[in-house]
Amino acid sequence: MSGSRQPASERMYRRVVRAGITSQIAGVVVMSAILFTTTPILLTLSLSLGVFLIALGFLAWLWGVVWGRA
Amino acid sequence: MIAVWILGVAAVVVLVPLLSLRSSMRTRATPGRRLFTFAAMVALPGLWLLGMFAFADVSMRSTSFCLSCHEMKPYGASLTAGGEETLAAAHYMGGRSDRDKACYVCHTKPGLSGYIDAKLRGLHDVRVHYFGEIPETLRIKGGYDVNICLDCHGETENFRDDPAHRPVMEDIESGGVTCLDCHGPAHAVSEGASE
Repeated sequence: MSGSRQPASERMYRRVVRAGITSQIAGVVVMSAILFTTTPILLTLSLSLGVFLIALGFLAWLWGVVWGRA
Repeated sequence: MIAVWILGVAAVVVLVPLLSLRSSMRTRATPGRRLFTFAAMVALPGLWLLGMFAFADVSMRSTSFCLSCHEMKPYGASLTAGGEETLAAAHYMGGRSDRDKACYVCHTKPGLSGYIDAKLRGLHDVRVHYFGEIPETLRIKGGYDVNICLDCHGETENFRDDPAHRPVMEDIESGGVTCLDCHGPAHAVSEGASE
């Protein structure tokens, strides 16, 4: 089974994981807005957008673990 | 206020390892490096996310949050108007429900499904408030669920042993008769308050 899994190139690994980290940094910044507002639309948008961006980072990490290691 | 500080400092604690990891990306990692990557990209953001969820959830349960939309102002005013004649005022003024989350307690169905339903209805309300057409008369979609009342009152002796309740107990529990049929209106506003 493991023979069928081709590890990604180093360049690809760096690109994907770096994008994931950037996404998480943006997610933390966006979601921090929740601490400073009680406006319903801002709460809703920062919560949903923040969760989405941080989840993208989780996926990038998972991709790195499964396919990224050379 | 202290939660804001804690989560604000925690945000910095989450950001520092992420920035450090981003500036020192390596493909061939040692076990220690892999552990650091896991902590920076999964554990710390995950824990912070849970904390932020809890913070946002508490914020969105607050009475002041619900009353921040102008459509709700008359309903908020009815919590303290006219003595304790209406159900909402009786609960709020009489200290029968937590004043800091008075709207949430009486407008959220019991259980996890009720919580999810409240979140979905909240999303709908936010959409209508900002982008939709607000109706002149506000009505609860599907009517008021009697199980919200029964969640607190259902097993109490005052409710069970009340001579007025006994003959209609089955109807109350099946939803055929609601509390508002006899104890309404819930709010002292011009129209649509009790539905």
